[in-house]
Amino acid sequence: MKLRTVLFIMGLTLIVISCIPSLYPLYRISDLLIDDRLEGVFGADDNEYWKIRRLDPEFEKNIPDAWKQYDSGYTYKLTVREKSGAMQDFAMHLLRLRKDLYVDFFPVDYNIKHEFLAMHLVPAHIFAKAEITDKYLVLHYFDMDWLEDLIKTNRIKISYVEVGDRYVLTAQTEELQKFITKFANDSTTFIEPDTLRRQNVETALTNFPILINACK
Amino acid sequence: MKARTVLIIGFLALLAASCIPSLFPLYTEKDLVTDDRLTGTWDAGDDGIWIIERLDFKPNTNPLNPDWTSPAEQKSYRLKVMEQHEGDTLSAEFVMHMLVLGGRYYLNYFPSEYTLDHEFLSWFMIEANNFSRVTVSQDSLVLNFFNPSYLRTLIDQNRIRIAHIRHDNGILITAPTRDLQKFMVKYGNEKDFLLSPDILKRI
Repeated sequence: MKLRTVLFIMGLTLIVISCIPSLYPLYRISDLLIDDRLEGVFGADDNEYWKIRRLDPEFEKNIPDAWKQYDSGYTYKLTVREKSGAMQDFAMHLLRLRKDLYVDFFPVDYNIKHEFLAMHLVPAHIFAKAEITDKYLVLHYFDMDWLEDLIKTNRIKISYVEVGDRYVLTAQTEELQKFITKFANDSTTFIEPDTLRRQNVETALTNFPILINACK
Repeated sequence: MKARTVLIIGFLALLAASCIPSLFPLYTEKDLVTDDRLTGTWDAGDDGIWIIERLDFKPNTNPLNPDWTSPAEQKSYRLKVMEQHEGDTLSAEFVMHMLVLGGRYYLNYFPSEYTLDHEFLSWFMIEANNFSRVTVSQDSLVLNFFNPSYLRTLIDQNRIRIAHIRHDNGILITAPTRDLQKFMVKYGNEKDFLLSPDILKRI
């Protein structure tokens, strides 16, 4: 009997997450791109938004240690503010594989208050196929159910492990890229897209005091 | 800097240093044991309060309930760890197993119930196993976690080969249980690998 059944009977709930985490990034430095349309503030209002800005090591002063490894010039800093007010930074990278654009996210400088729990949680990469326009950023995340179906029907050979109630990809970048490009245009590969609308200048300006703090 | 601040910083540093997460558990079903003295409420000092319950599953014929035939699930404990942070009590739960390996007793912990403040961040966090040596008596629980610096040294000096990846906060062991057990049997009693014991007192 699986752990999830045990937990269910214990009356516990697992975090239901449909995206697929990966131990390794989808990109090599040579794959990375810059697109100025990525920069800006996306989201509905002041309380819930994504702020993306390019991290240029040459012009960053007092950059926190956690960011110092991102010195390629191709890193974007993503700050996600949620309705609860919680904020978190992520390193975001844009890359192209064949004809398609992708973004790779990885959390940076996070703080899990429960210390014993923090010993048991390890950060992973998540990536999405991306469409970028002047007004929108559309993200197509890979679907865990799709991956599970591929694994159970023996249709793929990619390195993974089952952790808790989900799969984690353990394949290295080259293997990941082959896998992703093979299925990139299969309609069943993705969950419903997230469409992030760029805030207009007036709305974005109301965020400005917060954004200055986020940049420090 | 106040003494209290120094102590808190020291405490956080110790926790950060006492972490060797592993994708795979240290146990197979045949290694598991139980000890009734584990159950109860324990005072972990600055680490908070630990509540340990045995998940005492009994096979039955009710189709709505499972048949608990797996030793791993018959020999599970639920661990609830409550910590104090800035006046708030934070709680997280873990599935805990006790095992014997090379004549030594260990506890294996895996998170089962928790919340993170930032929902998007929670997408990225993979649950990992952690383990400690354990000596249990009626009134105390003595835990020895392992020193990741020692492991890092062994790896850097090519003295061991164990599958792992490095991430921002340290090392994640990706070796399967079989390799993990061999490693622990060989190094699990090295004094440089064992951190100072945490002594929990029964409440």
